[in-house]
Amino acid sequence: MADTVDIVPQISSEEYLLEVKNLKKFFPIQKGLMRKTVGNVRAVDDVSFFVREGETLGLVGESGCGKTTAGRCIIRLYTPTGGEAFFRTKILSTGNEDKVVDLIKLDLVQMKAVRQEIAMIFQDPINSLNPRMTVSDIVAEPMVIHGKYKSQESEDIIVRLLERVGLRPDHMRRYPHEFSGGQRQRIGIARALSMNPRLVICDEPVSALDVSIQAQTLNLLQDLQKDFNLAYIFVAHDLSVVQHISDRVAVMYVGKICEMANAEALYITPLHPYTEALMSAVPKADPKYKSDRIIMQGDVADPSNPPSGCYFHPRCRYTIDRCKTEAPEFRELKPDHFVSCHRAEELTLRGV
Amino acid sequence: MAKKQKQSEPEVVQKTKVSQSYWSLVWWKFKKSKIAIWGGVILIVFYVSMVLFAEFFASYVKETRTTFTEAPPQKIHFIDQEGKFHLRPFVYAMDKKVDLKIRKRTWVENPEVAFDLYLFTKGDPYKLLGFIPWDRHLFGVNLEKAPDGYFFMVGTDSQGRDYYSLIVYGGRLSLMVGLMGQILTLVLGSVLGVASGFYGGTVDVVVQRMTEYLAAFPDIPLFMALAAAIPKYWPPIMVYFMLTVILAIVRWGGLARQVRGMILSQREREYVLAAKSAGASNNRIMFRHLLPGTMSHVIVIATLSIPGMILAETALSWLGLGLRPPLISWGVLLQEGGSVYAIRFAPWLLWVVPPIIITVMAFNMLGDGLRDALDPYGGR
Amino acid sequence: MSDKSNLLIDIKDLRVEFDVRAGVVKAVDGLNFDIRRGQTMGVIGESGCGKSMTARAILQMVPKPGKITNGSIEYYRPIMKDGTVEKVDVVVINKLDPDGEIIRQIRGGEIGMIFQEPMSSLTPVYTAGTHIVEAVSLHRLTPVKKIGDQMVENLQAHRKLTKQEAREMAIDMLQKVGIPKPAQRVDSYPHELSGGQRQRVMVAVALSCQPFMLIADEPTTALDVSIEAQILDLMRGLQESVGMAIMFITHNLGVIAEMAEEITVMYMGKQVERAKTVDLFYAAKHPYTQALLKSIPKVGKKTSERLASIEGMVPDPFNLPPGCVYHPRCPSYMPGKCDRIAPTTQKVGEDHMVSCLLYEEV
Repeated sequence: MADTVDIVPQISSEEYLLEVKNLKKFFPIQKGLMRKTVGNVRAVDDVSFFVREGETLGLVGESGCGKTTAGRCIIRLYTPTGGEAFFRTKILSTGNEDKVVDLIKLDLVQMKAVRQEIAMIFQDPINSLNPRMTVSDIVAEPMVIHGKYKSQESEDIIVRLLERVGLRPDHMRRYPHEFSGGQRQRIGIARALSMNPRLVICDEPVSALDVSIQAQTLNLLQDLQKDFNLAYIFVAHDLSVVQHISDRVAVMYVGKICEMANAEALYITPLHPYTEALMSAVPKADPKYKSDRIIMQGDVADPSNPPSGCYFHPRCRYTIDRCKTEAPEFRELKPDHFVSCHRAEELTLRGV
Repeated sequence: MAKKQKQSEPEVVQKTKVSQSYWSLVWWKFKKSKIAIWGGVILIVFYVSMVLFAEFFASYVKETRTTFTEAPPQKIHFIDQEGKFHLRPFVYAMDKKVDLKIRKRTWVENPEVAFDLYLFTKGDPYKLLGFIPWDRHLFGVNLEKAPDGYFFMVGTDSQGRDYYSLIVYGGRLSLMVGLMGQILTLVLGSVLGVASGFYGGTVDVVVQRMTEYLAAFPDIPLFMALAAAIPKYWPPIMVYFMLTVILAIVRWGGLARQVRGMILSQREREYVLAAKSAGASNNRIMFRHLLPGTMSHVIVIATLSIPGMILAETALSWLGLGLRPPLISWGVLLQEGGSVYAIRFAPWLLWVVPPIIITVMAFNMLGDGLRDALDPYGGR
Repeated sequence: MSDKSNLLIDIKDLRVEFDVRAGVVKAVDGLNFDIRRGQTMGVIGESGCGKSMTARAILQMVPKPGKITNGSIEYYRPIMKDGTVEKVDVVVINKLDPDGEIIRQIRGGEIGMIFQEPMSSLTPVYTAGTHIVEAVSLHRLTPVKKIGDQMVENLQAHRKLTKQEAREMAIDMLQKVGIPKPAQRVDSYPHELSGGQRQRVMVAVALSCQPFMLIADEPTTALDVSIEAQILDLMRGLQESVGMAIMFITHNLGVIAEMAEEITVMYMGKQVERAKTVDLFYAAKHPYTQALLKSIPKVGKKTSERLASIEGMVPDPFNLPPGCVYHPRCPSYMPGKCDRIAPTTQKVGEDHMVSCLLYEEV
């Protein structure tokens, strides 16, 4: 999928809201007194995906796979090392039409404007809210930053937002430490919605919550998506949560996407051995389920020193020689079902 | 394992309706420490009496000189010569006497002449707070009843000035130098510390090297060099101002390092990322998100450092390098009071020392209380 | 209750309370269950339900200002001789001196514990080997043959291990838990190991003294799914070979379905249901358990859009609702009953206990 660099940002399809192409993010490893760069942690290593308006793309994978980094690159909390992220923006367009921009190439002023359309929800309910700010300050901050805060009007908006996420107006003057984890996440969600974004990047939003609160929060996110026509990029490591909320899912391993497909297709008929192994590793909440688990040997590969050829080959059951030397291509094997594996056509893999 | 307190359902009555802002929690916890409150009270008393209303608390105006040089403190009596008890205290006049043995002039009580002491007496006129003309003093001799009366509670110095009044006036400058110097240090140290911690890279390196060079210099020679650089012909008030600046320049490094450390640990917190992802500028992140989080620690550090500044001024002035006469500070007073001559012949001149000690202790007490109150969430 | 002969731990009406300024928090409020030798008992519940505090109580490690205020924890301590159980002593753990000799022998030597966060459970300045060596040096003894006694019966005396023996035992343990190149890894520091390897080291430390029971407090929560699968497999394998009991504490229903034979469900310090695993998952009786099972997303065909979530929030520990603690959130709430009467434990099937007024005659 070698692309020439577009001069005019172009999205491949009318439907796509965001299209990421060949995204790379490397963190240099510096050693020695002179801080020489001796290598790179290839956190995100040539990743391509897309999200449609109003749809949820799940990004799933184990630690070190780069899913969190990828999410943060899109909103430019990190500066990507390479690649493109085409996004349909209304704010930067002059007319009524959407304008397509490359998020990575935007200058600081433009990027700040576009941030009104892309929001982020974080994992840790304790640390994602400034403990010295009141709830209304926290939710109002994006409005203040973009100069859109008007005393009475904005207060009303905040009240409505808080009620929409299940909090009460008298919570506005309270401080984060007075709330439970689930409630804090709701504050974070209200903050993300305060500028009416089109795309919300959810970075493990329910991982730190109890099971019953998880369910409430997931329901809330789904309701909000319907009401506001939001697109979600849902980053998580819990496969069952991801399948529940996502329309499409991409599985990442050591900075690369192994497989990306419609949620049901991915879980029931996976095409990549890693996906298959992950599905079988998930503990099923069903004691009668006879698990014939595929145990992957060894540890997750090191992103600063990945294996040769296909990154997964040392742990893969189906490795052949080619896998050790040649990195597989990320290709669309079936309609809307992408996979990067040399043997994808011949293998019949087990789903859940 | 501490239990997590989850917020109750709306139906259940909330125990605290009061604001639970960070500072209100800090205040609530601070109130519990008796020591800290005492420290605070003492300091408030000192600052109000000496800095704001020095002229009222002193018996005499600064410039007053009498012929009663090096007179010891007058004893306060309630019972007179004949054994009669007076409700109102009084002092006797003093007569000069030359002691031939030690070849010194001494002062002896003259029981014939007595001056009654009153509160809120009329005395030398002055301008309260610099513009309100008044002439009442906290206590003294009623000049209408005894126009030649005088009351030197702590004796006089070699120029015949009432030493008690000098201590009060001295307190004004010393306390203010400490406070002003610390405020300057705070501003300088916070801003540079935040910038250093937040930006990292070159900014950090430059600021850190500066603090290191300053820290590596031996304190006293550095002070001496900077103080000696103040031109002699400058008016005293400029000298005073420069001294404050010098103290701040030497001391900001410590605070900056502390702030930098705190910023480094907070910089990657998710609420900072959240602000960034919403489009916050660096300035906003530094001054609206990061710095307020460090303020509590900074205040404690600052409070505990003020005594150091006061002592530094005291030491410098005592060495003749800080404030000089006609300015009066505790350090300047120590110059005269701390000599061997004084200790031998006019020991009351050492009464300038207790206020210094009390001030230092009070700041430490307050600072400790603040430090304990700093984490009002306690074990979350 | 069934077969008491293999009893290892018997908890009766346990209460652990924290006396804090705002009131008394009942971290554990009337818990009853037992663990038999070789059995895996799962304890499931959400944060604040008291499951971790129960584990600490068993090891007499309840942190201040907490106290065991009621009930007893009886430990049926096997006394081993020549590899078989000679007799069983009953030790009442909550009566032991928390710093005393007996409990310290039990901790690690007879009842092991592994924690959730492998990074903070291992001392950063000790190598993996040192951790294990410390454990075995404290607890393991090696038999000694008296010199010149070959003809006569072997008087098996025991002495503590030498440094060399301890180190070899450490390497052996590392190999048993599946750490590659154990002879080299034994000298690695925690930060040089991955999360999964650290947890394996924890398991090695806990198992190195061949305890009768292992308490695992959320041991795989912080691990990736593929590593979790490995660790769970490891624990099961070691359990089989050594005959060890496991008390597995978690909030993850999938994990517990795999590991436990019997499950206790806790809510706000109380035991709401206890049953064999299959019975719990397929015939749960308590509304909380039912709601919990319905609220987890399941991998497989996409079902309805919304998850059946539990209404409301966990109550304020200082302001517990009257009657049944769960009633404000319960879809089967019976006004007049559930808000006035606290349920007691009832038997609803073989080895199946519930605390709910739906199953109680009031």
